[in-house]
Amino acid sequence: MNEPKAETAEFNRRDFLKGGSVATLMAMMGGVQLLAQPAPDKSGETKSPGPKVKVAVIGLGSWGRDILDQLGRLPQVEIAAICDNYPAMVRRSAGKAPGAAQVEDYKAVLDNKDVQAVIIATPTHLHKDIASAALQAGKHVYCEAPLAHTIEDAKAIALAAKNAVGQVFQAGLQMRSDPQRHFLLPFIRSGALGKFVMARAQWHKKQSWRSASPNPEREKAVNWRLSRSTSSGLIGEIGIHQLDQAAWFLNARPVSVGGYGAILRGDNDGRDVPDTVQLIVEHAGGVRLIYDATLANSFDSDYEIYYGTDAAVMLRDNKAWMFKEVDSPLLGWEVYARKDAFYKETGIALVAGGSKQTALDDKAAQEAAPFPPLYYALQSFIGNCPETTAAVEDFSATYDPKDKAGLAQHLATIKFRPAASYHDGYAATVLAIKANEAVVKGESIALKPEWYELA
Amino acid sequence: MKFGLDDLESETLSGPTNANMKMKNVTPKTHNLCMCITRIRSTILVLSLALAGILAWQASAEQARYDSQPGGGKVKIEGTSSIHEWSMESPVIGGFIEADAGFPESALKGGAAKPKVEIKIPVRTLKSYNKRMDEVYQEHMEEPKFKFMEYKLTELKPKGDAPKGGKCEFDAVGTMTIHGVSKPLTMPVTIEKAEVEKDGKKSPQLKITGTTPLKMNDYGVKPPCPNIPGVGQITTGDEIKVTFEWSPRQK
Repeated sequence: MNEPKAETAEFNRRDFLKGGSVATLMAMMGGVQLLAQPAPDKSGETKSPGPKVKVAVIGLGSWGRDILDQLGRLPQVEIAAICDNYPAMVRRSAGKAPGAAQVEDYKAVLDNKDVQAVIIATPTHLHKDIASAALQAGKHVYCEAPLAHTIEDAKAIALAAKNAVGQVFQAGLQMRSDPQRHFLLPFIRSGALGKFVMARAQWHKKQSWRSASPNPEREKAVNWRLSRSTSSGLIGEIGIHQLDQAAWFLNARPVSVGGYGAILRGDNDGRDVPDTVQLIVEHAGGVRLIYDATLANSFDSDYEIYYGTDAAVMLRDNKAWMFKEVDSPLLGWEVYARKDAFYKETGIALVAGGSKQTALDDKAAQEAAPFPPLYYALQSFIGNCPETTAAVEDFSATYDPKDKAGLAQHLATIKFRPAASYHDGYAATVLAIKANEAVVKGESIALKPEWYELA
Repeated sequence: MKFGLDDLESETLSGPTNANMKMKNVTPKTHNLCMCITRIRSTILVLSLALAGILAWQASAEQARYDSQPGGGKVKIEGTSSIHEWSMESPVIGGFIEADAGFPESALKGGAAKPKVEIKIPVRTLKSYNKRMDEVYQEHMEEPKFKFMEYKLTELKPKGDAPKGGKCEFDAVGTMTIHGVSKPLTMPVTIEKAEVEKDGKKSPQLKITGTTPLKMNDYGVKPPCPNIPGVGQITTGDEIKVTFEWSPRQK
């Protein structure tokens, strides 16, 4: 009698140790999982990569190096050049891009006729000059989010992108390309949650953000995130993705934002950027997002929850669970879905294109999207570049090459891979900049419609 | 030119008489001079009438050029396969029509000047939005080698002598070039003309619609039989149906 009990206990412990991830923890504690099929999209996959897209990465900090890692997984990419104005960074990244030209001046990259596309991952306040010059040079551009540190600069980038009709401009809002989010979007917007009530998101990770450096000049450059003059802090660098996602899912424009911030870590290193922020974003229609982020504590990491009158959906770790209200209508399929218990709640697993079979298959549940959102964002960018170039060539061979309006209309007929446009990037940047302003001042700011206008 | 008095005898043209020439002294010499002048005048008259006639004819046969506009064309190709029917579309039709000012109605009457029609469609613009299928299609069309599908009109054979509800029907006889292979092709087309306004300017626009069956093998294109993961090898039917709508406009 005792043996089976001991065995169960053993099993649970072993599983817990083996899993070690939030997902395993959740699965064991309970919660119904919503997840997109892990199988790669066969209709989208190409048999032969075709001619390679020559890309240059400008800005080789930790994120730039992450980008290089993901680019390495895309067969149709050839990293033609890596560029950073700090030589040590270039050397550090060289291993991730063998054969790439190692450059210190971004202008040389833009002058290189071979380079078709550039990815800009420099500190935020340096985006504008590089992005504008890259668009001017006829390159396809992937510019990291937030687009810029000031609304004026962000507008300059967005307008330049708008005018460069035949060139791809993708903002670095990687969630906009994530298949998991694309799977959830119609589900959430279909009213499965009932009426939207509110949203909650957080990002907690205990880290300093301060980087070591050999001299005061480099020290200032590498710690740009810690100074208000160059950084929109946690909201600008991290929160922008979650804030943008909320507005996207709720399908509502943010109308006001209010917040607070404080420096509580105790670094005493002269930073003036808050390391702990709380924010409330009000969307058109009255649905508010409550957001908090901190560099001081890691508990519960990061997640987003959307609450509705019929159900709540939690996104965590690129997986999602739905928690239904007792009195909400039966959707039908949830009878077969996997259910995991979360503390006192029961979450239902949603599997895209799932059948009873896949719902019961534990293994399928464990593997969500195999790659991080950044991979999909870059995949979209790299896929859209040659598609755009081909479309421009075909248009110019058939009609008046100078007809920008006609070209824009033609490009609108093409189904591109999902990606954040210059407009998405600009709107998110405006929100992040104003939200940070609210946090820094400890007040509420109404978001004026004219800030969103791109003349 | 010298005119003899004999010619003048038989002249029915009411030329100058001694009376209206107000000749004071009619001598053979002056009479000859009169006649010469008359003759010259008549010649000039005849020539100028002829010239006017030619110019008038030119004016009515004045060439109008209609050019393709972005968004003013679409082509749909439908086909079959062992698993299901498929279709591809392109929003791009390039080319032009040069015809007289009375076109298309004038073409219904015999003896009108032949319109010049050239069409080209970039192969890449035809899409099914299934990326793998688009790739297979481009491979079989040898896309980088043959970038366009082209059509040149030889003759428009009218069907009926009057437009029906504003639409003129013809059998278009021409040459279709796909995958570098040119073949004669006759297809029924309907042409109508309308005035459209763009940027505050009104100009005539033609709308041409038509449909025709084609065989891939006729143009050296092997009907694809790709291997679909999860389904196996599928075969595509040789015969396809092309339907198009094209609206070129005068500038």
